[in-house]
Order: sequence, then C-alpha cells, then structure tokens
Amino acid sequence: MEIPYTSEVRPDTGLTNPKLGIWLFLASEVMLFGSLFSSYVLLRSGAPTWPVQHEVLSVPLAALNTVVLIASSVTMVMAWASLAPHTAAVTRGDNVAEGNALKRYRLFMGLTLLGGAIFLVVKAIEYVDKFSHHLYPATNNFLGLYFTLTGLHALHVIVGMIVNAYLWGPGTRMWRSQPERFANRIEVVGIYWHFVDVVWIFLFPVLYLL
Amino acid sequence: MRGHVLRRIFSTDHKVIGLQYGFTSLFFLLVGFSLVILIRWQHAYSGQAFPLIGSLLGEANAPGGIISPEFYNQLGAMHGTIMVFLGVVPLAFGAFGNYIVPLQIGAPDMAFPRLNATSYWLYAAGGVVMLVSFIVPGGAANNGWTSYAPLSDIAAGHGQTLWLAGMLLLIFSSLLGAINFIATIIQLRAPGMTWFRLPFFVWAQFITAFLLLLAFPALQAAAVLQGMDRLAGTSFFLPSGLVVAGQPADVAGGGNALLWQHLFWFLGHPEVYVLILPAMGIVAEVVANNTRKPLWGYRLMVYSVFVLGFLSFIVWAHHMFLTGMGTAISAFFQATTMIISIPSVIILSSLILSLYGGSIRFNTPMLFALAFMPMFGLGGLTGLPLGLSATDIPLHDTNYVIAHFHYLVAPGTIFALFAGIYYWFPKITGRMMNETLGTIHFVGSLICMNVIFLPMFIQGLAGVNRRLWDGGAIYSHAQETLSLNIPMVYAAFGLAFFQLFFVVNLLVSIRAGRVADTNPWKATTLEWTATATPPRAHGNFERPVRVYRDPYDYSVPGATAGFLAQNAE
Amino acid sequence: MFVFGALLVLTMATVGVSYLRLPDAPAVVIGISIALTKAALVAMYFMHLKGEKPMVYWPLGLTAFLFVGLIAGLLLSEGDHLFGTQFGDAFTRD
Repeated sequence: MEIPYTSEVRPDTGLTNPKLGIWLFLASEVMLFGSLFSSYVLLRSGAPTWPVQHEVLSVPLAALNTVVLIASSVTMVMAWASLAPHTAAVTRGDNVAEGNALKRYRLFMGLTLLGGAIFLVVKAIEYVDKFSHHLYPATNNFLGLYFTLTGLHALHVIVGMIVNAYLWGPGTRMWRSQPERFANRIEVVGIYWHFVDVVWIFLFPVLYLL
Repeated sequence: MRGHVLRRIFSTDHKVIGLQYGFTSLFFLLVGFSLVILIRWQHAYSGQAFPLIGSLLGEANAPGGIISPEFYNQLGAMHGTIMVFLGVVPLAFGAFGNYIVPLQIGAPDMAFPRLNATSYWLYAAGGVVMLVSFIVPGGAANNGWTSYAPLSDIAAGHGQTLWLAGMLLLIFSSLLGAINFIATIIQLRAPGMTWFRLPFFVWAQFITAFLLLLAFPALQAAAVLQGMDRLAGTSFFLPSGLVVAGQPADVAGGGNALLWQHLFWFLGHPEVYVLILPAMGIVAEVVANNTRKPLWGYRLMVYSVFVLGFLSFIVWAHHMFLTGMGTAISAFFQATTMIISIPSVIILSSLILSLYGGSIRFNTPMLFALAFMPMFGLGGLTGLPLGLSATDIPLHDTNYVIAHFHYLVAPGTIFALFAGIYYWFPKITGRMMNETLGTIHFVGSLICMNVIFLPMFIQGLAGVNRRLWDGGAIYSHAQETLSLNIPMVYAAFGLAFFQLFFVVNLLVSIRAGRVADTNPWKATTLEWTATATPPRAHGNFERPVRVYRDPYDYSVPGATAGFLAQNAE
Repeated sequence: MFVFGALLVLTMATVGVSYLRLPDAPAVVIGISIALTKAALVAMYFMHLKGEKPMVYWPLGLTAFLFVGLIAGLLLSEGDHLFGTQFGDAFTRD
C-alpha cells in the first residue's frame, strides 16, 4: 500500500513527504544546537576568566576541517546532481544512462564519505592531543563545552556517514527500480549533510577563533 | 508463525501502533498512580507502615514497611516523570493521535509508517530504562521531575543518570512522532479536506506536534549537559565555590545552576500545553457529537489554539519568579503569562457555549467531557495568582501549585482521555462499553479527585510546602490543614477502587460488549465512515475518500439521521 | 562552484580576521556575520532553500524566532553581568 506523496509532489504544498520531514527534523536540530550555543554564551559571558581559545585549540587543524567539510558538501550536491537529471531516462529503461549516472553518483558520494572520514580523523587527532596534555572536559567549562559541542556534532557526522554509506552501497538498488524516489532520497540526505556542515560553520569561529 | 508474530509486534500500521501506545501508557498511568498512593499514605500517617503491602517495598526503601525519606523522594520524582512523559503524553498524543488522526483526515496511514514504529519502540525503551532505575543501587531519580541542578548533578547513584538516558530516548521518540504528525496532517489530507474542514481534534494534535518538535530539544541539550556533569566531571550547572556536605566540590566550577532551570522550563511550559491540547481536542469532538450541533466558534477556536501554541514558548520563566531575575524581564513573563490565559478562556468558553441550544445526550463520554469544563476552568483560574510574580511569592512550591496543575491534568486531561476511550472504543473494537459501569466510574472518579485536590489549595495557602516527607508536620501555623491529608488518602484509595470499574469494563467489553455498527454515535467525522473496525492492513477506507463538508454538520434540515458525514455529497 | 569559491574565501577571511585579535565586541560581530553569510550560502544553494515552498519557510521562521527568544530570555534573565544590573534590582526601585 502506497503512502501518497512519498515521491510525487503534493500540488497545493509543492512538497514531497520526505522533503517536508527533513526540514521539520532540522528545525528541531536548530533548537538543539541553539540551546547549546545559548548555554555557551551564558557560561562564557558570566565567567570571570576564560581561556584564550585559539591558544588551547589548533586553529589550522580546524580551518582544514572546515574546508574539508565544505568540500564534502559540494561533492554531496554533485552526487545528487549526477542522478536528478536522469531519472526520466532510467524510468524509460535507458540502461546506459542508468549506469553512467550511477558511476558518477558513486564517485561523488564516495568523495563525500572520504571528506567525512577525514573530518573525523582530524577531530580524533585533536581530541587525543588534548588528552595527552591532560586537557579533559572536566578541566574547565570551555573545554567542557568544546568537547560536548564538537562531540555531539561528530555524532551527527557519524550518523550521516552511516546513512550515506548505506546509500552508496546496498541502497543503490532503488536507483534501478525507483530512480526518482532514490534521487529524492539523496537530496533529502544531502540536506541533512549540509546542515551538519552549517553547524560546523558556526562551531568553528565560536569555539576556535573568538 | 514466528514471522507473523514479529510483524505484528513491529507493525508499521498506525492503528496497531496507536494501540501499543495506548496499552503501554495505561500501564504506566497505573504505575504512576501506585507511586503516589504511597506518598498520600506517608503524608496522612507519617512514619506508619503502609498497610498490607508495606513489607513488599523492600527493606532499603521502606524498613518495616515505613516509607523512608529517600524512597519518598524517588516516589515523588518518578510519579511526576512517569505520569507526564510515560503516561499522559503517550496516551493523548501517541495513542489517540496515531489511531484517530489519519482516519479523521482520510489518510491510509501516517506519512512515515516505519518512523512511527521506531517512535513507539524508543518510547518503550525509555520506559524500561525508567523502571529499571528503581532497582539499581541508590534507587531511582529522587530530585523531583524537574531535576534541578546542582542537586541533580551531584545526586549519588545511577538513578538520575538513568533518568537522563530515559529522557533522551523519550525525547527522540517524541521528536520523530512530531515530525510524522506534522507531515501527515499537511500532506495526507484527503481531497476536499481543507484546513478549515479539519476536526478540531486534528488541529489540537497539529499544534501539539509543533510544541513537541521545537521545545523538547532544549531538554535534550540540558540532559546532555547534565550527563556530562555527572559522567565526565564537567561543571556546566555547578557554580564555583560549591560546598557539598561540608566539603568543597572537586570540580572546576564556573557553571550556572539556573541554566538548567531555563532549559528545562523552555520545554516544561510547552509540555503542559502538550498535556492539555489533545484533551481539548477530544472534548470538542465529544461535545459536538453529543449536542447534535456544530461547535460554537470553530474558527475562533482554531485561531486561539494557534496563538496558544505560539505564546506557550514565551512564558516559561513564570516557573522561576523566585530565582532573582530583574523586574523588567519578570514583567515580560508576567505579561505573556496573563495574555496566554486569553486563548485558553476562548477555547473553554467556546466549548461551554457549544452546549447552549444543543440536544444533549448524557452518555459516558459526554459526562467526562462535561466535567472537564468546570474542572479545567478551576485549574486555569487558580493559575492566575501563580502567573503574577507578587502573588507567586507565597504560593511557589506549595501544595497550592500541586492542586493547580493536578486540576488541569487529572479531572482535566485524564477525564478527557477517558471520554476519548469510551467514545472511540466502538470504532476500535466494534463493540460498546457498558454505560452503567461507565457512569459509576465517572461519578466515583469525579468525587474522589475533588476530595484529593481541593484541600491542597487550602494547605498551600496556609504555606505548606510541596515534596515534604512528613507532609508539612513541622509547620506549626498550618496544623489544622494537615488533618486534611487523612480524607485525601482515603479518597486516593477510593479513586483507585473506582478505576476498577473502568478496567473491568474495558477488558470485558472487548469480547462481550454490545455489538456496534460503523457509526453508533451518529457522528460526522471521517473516522466513522471507515469500516466498523478498520482493517489491520494498511488502507483504512473501502472507497477513496472525498470530503465535501465542514466537520460538524449536525441537525441539518432534511438529512436522514439528523447529520451529514463529511464525505456525504 | 561559485558558492564553493565564496565559501572558501569567507573561511579564509574569518581565519584572517581572527589573527587581527580585535577586541571582543567587534570580533564577535564580524565572526558571527561571516558565519551567518556562509550558512546562508549553504542553506540557499546547497540545501535548495532559495525558492523553497512556504510550507517549509513558516516552520523554519518560527524556529528562528524561538531560538532568538531562548537566547534573549536566557541572557535577559541571567545576564546581570552583561547588562550591569544587580540582584537588588529585583526588590528595590521601580
């Protein structure tokens, strides 16, 4: 039994269910990270002293991570763009178009996964570096907030990568059977991935530069 | 066979999931109620062993059957947590919402059926974690359902940590559920089901979903921060210079205990509107149906519920008037709190005015719906002195507050939920519940609830603080009011007794109730045009649904049976 | 690709500005402004928010308002150290 508007757009709203769903989910995520940012502002502004953030943390590493994550967002867009124009052809049964599109998609989604992996590795290097200098979350509230905020962000990166990996691998079966629905899935997952990028775009200056 | 059972257990059908939510939440309501009966006893007969089953509570919790202060604190915290998060909200939103909303909008299911099943199992997992916390060393969380820092940060044992974990599971469940409800109501309305043809019940659930979606993340954040405090030694909520039991706390400090309160109440206030809005929705349906006329002021009610939802996000600090905030910001929250009473009153008044000129049928759902109105009114009115900072000062944290919110939730929301169960039972099972048992259940519950909660206003006004193990025995100025604890505990036993009529009625009627046709209440909304008990498999309606009418076309001249269903041409 | 280029430029800018070691208030304003610009670019172009439907804009708008409300409520209630007010204010004057 089909749920209406899973792939087709509902005329009066102009949306598919998953498109609306992911934006609603992101609204709640904005409130989640927003609450944490609010906590940061309150705790930092109320503290008599606060560490000089860019002396505790490595700005070059984080700047690298920023570029990596933004690049992975770009490759995510290109992954979707590899599929979207060709859904009609695949539905018609054009196997050549289907194969080519899938190859390009796999390339770009693979690069996105690579970007995410590099991000996490750099993060791990940062964390290990802090621990080796006896800098832990309990050391002071700045580090507590740093580990909590980046940790929660990293958790979101990991979840995104798990979903992306599934859609890079076993999930591609849907490209053959329901190409438009699959392309929509990539778009929706992309929106999530870009959001993870946006959160980092705010975390970077707030935690490292200011 | 095994595959069939697994498919039933992990069903993605909204009706099955609704029933799963329903039975699980009724179980938790029973658990939460049992906890508070212990509290009532302890208040009435402080230091005396609980009769009969006292010795079963365990020597750690109740040596000699006498409830210890430590166990009392667990009872208080978990009664609130279980009733609010595991009982009322899952029943009002998860059970009723899931079962009825798709049917009322003419949809085959929710927008995301697998997400729906995930929501339920996350809720069940959260419930298990909360129950397990009772048997870990140190027992369950014992810092009030509000878990204020710094006490909750430093509380010994694993109970509070499990509370945080349980809450994270429950919050995730609610967030996914909220997404599902909003997407379903926006996207899956049947052709012709325009926004202003939606039954008020659907509007109420729609706004509720937004409240859950945007308010819960603040408590998620707070729970993560407190989890870090408890497990990683951070001090987000621990100020510098904190001394615990004579020893300076070995933490970095620099935290802010009030940060917890702000984050908690940013959720906490919308949460109470999550408790009441589905109830208003149910009462609206039952009233329209049993007065045989449209709701008075339907559009006004819809606009009011929008305004109510929006305002509920900007009143939260009225729970914090005594924390030392400046006069300006206090005035802001007082003003918004006063203003929010307006849409509430509009909705209540519309429901009452809907009775005027109606041809009222006094069946069991209608009895509960009728009682909801004055009870909710009393609860709401008693909130006014709490919403003004000056009058809140003597009343904050007293039994007055407990009476205020219990009037809204117990003879308010829970009565509305009972109305909903008696009303929609024939749709779910194809049988009617027994009217005599229902009436006894109603009369007994109404009387007992008032005997339990009305005296609390008196005690609160006399200055008796809440959450006291001995019920306030140390207050020399309030001694006369404390004797009221004794009739209160017997009314609590009475309330438990009268629920038996409900439980027996429910369970027996499933098999042996009077068989009902598709639409025994002669109602107009779409769920009654589905087959007598909508099939388990997806696809609720025999024919594609097309809506032509407003939700409450009752007593239309010339219509057979005195009403026109929404899909009648 | 233009967007990618713009984002890279903005990233370099925000790092560069941080080396100027400006005092608190301007540093925060500039840093957050750059971050907002980058976020807007990602949202508009990568997430296709530009030209999205009203049914998406309304919930997001409400969310933005509530986020601001939470921060404002929090800071105005607890931010005596920021606004120079004192605890005594709650019970004297006015």
